[in-house]
Amino acid sequence: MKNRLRVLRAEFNWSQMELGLRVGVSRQAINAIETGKYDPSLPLAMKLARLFGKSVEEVFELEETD
Amino acid sequence: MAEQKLDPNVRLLGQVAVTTILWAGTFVATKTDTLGHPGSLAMRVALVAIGVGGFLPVVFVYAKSIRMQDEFNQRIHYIALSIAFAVTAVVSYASDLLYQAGFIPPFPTIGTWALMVAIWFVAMIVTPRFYR
Repeated sequence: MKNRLRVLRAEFNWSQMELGLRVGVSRQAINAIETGKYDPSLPLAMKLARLFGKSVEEVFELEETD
Repeated sequence: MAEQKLDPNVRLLGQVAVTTILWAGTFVATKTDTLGHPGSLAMRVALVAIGVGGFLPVVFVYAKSIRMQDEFNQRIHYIALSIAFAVTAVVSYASDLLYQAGFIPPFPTIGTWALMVAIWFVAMIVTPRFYR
């Protein structure tokens, strides 16, 4: 699954740690999501999208291979 | 006066320390010759109960510590535990066959347990590297 988390985080000028604190996960979790190595649960994806004022589909995109 | 809540991580660390000390105490207390000899039945039952009873709180505290972590770290724990389970299963099965074939002495039960914990910790260090 592709995502725009890194871009959105840069727009808000937040560090991975800061974003993690805002949604209640570790910096490692944010890093793993940004690199596409880990797909978050639906509640976490919704929390992230809501934090950036976007819908889940605007932040996360399903790839052909998923 | 408002009651000040203790940081959950600090409280957890305290619980880990207390339960580990309790377990170490019961571990030492039960390492007597009484267990291995035909002594009083009540004494032997008490020693086993103390030994197991002292260990259970450690298990509960570690389970609680995993539950307190975020979903990503819980996933890392589950993968590490799965690896530990699989490796221990293979090693214990192989060692039993090797023992029956007369190649090695019997593998102690506590050694199997220690091996699983060691692999769990190693896997906890190695697994996150695949998510960077």
